[in-house]
Amino acid sequence: MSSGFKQIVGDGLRFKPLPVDKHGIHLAARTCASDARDALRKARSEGLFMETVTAVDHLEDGKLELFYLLGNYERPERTLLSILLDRSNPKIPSISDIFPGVTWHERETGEFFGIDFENSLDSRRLLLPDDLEGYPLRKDFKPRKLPPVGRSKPFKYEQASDEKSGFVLNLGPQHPATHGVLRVILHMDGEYVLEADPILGYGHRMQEKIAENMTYTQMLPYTARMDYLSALHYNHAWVMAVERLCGFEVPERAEYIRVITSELNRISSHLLWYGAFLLDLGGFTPFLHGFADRERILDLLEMVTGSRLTYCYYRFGGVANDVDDEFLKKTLEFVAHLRSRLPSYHDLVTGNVIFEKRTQGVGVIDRDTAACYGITGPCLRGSGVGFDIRKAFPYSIYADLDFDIPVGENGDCYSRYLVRMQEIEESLKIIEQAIENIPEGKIRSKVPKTIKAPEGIAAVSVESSRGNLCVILVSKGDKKPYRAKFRVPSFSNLSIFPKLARKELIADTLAILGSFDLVIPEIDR
Amino acid sequence: MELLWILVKILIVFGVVMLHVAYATYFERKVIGHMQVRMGPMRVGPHGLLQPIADGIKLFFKEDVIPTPADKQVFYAAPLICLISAVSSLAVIPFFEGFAIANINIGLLYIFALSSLASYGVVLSGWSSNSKYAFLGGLRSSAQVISYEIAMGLSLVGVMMMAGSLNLTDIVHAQMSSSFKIYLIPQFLGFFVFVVAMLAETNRTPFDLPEAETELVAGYFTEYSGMRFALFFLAEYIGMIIMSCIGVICFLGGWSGPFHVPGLPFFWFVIKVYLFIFFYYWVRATLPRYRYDQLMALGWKVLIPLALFNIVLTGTIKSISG
Repeated sequence: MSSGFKQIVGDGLRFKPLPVDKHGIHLAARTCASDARDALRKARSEGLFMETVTAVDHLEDGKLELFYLLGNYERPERTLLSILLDRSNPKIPSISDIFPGVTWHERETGEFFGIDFENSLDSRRLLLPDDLEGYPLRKDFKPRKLPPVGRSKPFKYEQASDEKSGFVLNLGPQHPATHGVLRVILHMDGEYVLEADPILGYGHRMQEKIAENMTYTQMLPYTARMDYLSALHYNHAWVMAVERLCGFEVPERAEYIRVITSELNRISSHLLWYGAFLLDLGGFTPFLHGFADRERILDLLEMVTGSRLTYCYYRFGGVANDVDDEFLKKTLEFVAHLRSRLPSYHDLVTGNVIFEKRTQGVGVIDRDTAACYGITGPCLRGSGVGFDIRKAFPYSIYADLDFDIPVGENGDCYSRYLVRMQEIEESLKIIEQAIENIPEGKIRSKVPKTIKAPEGIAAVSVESSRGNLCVILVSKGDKKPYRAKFRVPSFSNLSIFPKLARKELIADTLAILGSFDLVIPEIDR
Repeated sequence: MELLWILVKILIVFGVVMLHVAYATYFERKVIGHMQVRMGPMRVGPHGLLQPIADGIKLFFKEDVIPTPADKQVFYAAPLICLISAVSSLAVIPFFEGFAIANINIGLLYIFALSSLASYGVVLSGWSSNSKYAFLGGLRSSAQVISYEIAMGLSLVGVMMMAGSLNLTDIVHAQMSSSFKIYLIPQFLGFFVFVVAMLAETNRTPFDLPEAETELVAGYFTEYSGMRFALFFLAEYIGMIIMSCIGVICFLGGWSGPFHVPGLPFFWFVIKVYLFIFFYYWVRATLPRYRYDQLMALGWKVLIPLALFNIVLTGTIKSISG
C-alpha cells in the first residue's frame, strides 16, 4: 500500500501507511507537518484534485488529526493524507499557493478547529461570525450564552471601504441573482469587475456539530435541509456512509427504488436550474416551463416519499416505503412526457443568438484549474473531464445500468448548460432501465434499532445534482458519529468564482454564478 | 371656442391613453402568462379584468419611501420629467384623419426631442437615489438611449425623404398616395432598424439593461416606491405606445386600411398599435437579455451603418426615379 502511495506523492518523504478498510478510501498515509507540503506539491503535479481539507479532534490524545482528501479525475482512487498536530499549538504551512482552491477549505478548517495555516493567501473567517470565541468543532467547545433578544448595539450603516477601487458594489445577501443568501463584494471599474469577494455564512447552521450530537438516525432528516434541491442525494450519501461503516446489506429492490427516485430528483434540480439560469440572463419564460414540468416530478416523489422538497425517504438498509405499480406507470408516462418536451426547451433557448453570445466563451474553466479548485459535477464535465461518481465509484446499481456521461468541449457557461441538458436525457434513460428491471422483494433489510457504528472512518461519495457529495464519517463505536464532514460540491465550485470573475463585465459574472447551479444552504451548512 | 376644443381633445387623448396603459399591463400579463403555461391574473374580477384598477389603488396608497442619502429635490423631479416628456409626445400624434392635438410641421423632430428629454429623468433618478444599483442603471440607460436615438433617427430619415415632410399627418397622406400604400415595403431596412431601436429606446427586453432585474435589482428606479415608482411605470408604457404610434404612422400607413370601417375612423390605427404592443410582449417572453458591450456593438456597428446605407439607397432610388 505504501508503494502505491509513494507513486502518487513521491519518494524520499516519511510516510506511515495507515490501514485501509475499504470504506471509500483507497490509499491512506500519515505524515508529519513539515513533509505535507512536498507531498501535496507532488500530488498537484500528478493532476490530483483536492476534494477537501478537514480535521478531527482527538481530545483524549491531545491531538488534532488533519485530513487532506485527494481525488483523481482519471482513476477511481481516493487518497487520504493524515497529519497529527499538537492540540495546544496546531500549526501547519498553508498549501494555498499549491492548490489555490484549498484556501477556502483551510479557512473553514482553521476557524472550526483553531488550526493555524501559516502563510495562507487569505486567513479571514469564512463561515463563522467575527465575534465568535472558541473553535466550534473542537470537542471541548462550550457555546457561550446567547445574548438577550434584541440588538445588542444600535445598527450603524457602514460604507464598504473603497480602498481597492473607487466603486464597490455590494451584491447580496438579498439580490435576485445570488439564489439565496450569498453576498459578493465586487470591486468595480465601471461595468468591469476588478475583484470579487464572496462572503459566506449567512445561512450557517453548524450542521456538522449538530451531527455530532445526534444519533445516526436522528441526523437523517437534517441532511435533506442542506441542499433542498437534491435532498435525496444527501439522504443517499448519509445512509450509504453508515451502511458501509456498519456493513448493512441493502435489498436489491431498495437499490432500484433509490436510483429511480435519485434520478427523478436530479432531473427536478436540473429543470429548476435551467429556468433560474435563463432568468439570470434575462429570459423569463424558460423558468416557468421548467417549473411546470418539475411540478410533475414533485407529484411523483410525493407519492412515494410523502413530501415535496426536503425528502427523508431512505433508511439504513433500504427505503421507507415500497413503490406501487401506479408510481412506476406514472413515472414511465412522465419520462415520455419530458422526452417530448425537451425539444421545445432547446427551441426556446439553445439556438438563440443572444443566449449563445451571453454564454459562449464566458467563464472558461480548463482541466488544470478545475483540479486546483476541486471542481466536480456538471461544472467539471463542461470542461471535458468525464468524472462522475456514478461511473468512477459505482454505488447502488449504477454499475449495471447503461448510460453515458455527457461532457462539454469548451468549459464555458454554454458547455455547462449543454451538459446539464444532456444529463436530463441520461437520467431519463436510467429511470427507464431501472423501472424495466426492478425486481420484487424486500425493501429493507433488518438493522438494529439502535445503531452503533464500529470504530473506523468512511468516505462515501454520491453524485448529487451539483457534483461530488462526500460524507466523511469518523466513528469511535458510539451511538453518535464522532465527526461527520460533508464535502459539498457547491463549496468547491464557488471557490473558483473570484478567479473567473476578475476582469469580467458584471453581466458575465452573474452568468457565471448562474451556470454553477449554486445552492447556498449547502455551502453554508 | 378653439381653445375649448383643444382642451377637450387633450382630455380625450389623455383619458384614452391612460386607460390603454392600464390595460396594456393587463394585456401584457395575460399574453405572457399564456406563453408561459400559466393563466395570468385571474382573481380580481372576471378573468382578472379589474386587476389594473386594483394595482393602481395599491400603488397609490403605498408608503412613499425616500432613502436618507437621496438628493430630495432631484429625486422628486426625476419621475415627473419622465412622465411629462412621455405624455407631451402624445400631442402631435394623428390618431385619424384630422385628429391631432397639435398638427405641427416638425412633429417627428418634436417627438425625438421629447424622448431625449425623458432620458434626463432616468439619469437624474439614478443619480439622485445615491444607490449604486440605481446609479449603474442610470448610466447604462443614458448610454443606451443616446446610441439608439441616433439609429432610430437615421432609420426614419428614409421615410422623411420619401414623404418630403416631418409632419406626421403629411407622412400618412404621402403613404396613401404612394404605389405600395405603406412605407414598410420600400423602407424595410429602415423598419428593421426602427423596430430594434424602438425596443432599446423603451428599455424593453432584450435591451432592458437599465432595469436588468438579475443584475441591477431594478436599475434606476430601485429606490423608488409607491406612486413615484408608478410614474416611471406609466412613462415606460406611454413610451411604448408612442413608439408603436410612430411605427404605425411612419411605416404602416397610419389610420388607412384595406377597407373603411364606418363610425370608427381610428379602427386601423388602433389595431396596428395593438399589433406593435403585442410584438413587444412576444419578444419579452422569448428572448434573454443582451450584455452591455454587445448592446453598444449592435447599435454602433450594425444598426447605424444599416440606417446610413438605407438613406443612401433611398436617396439614390429617389434621384433616379425623379
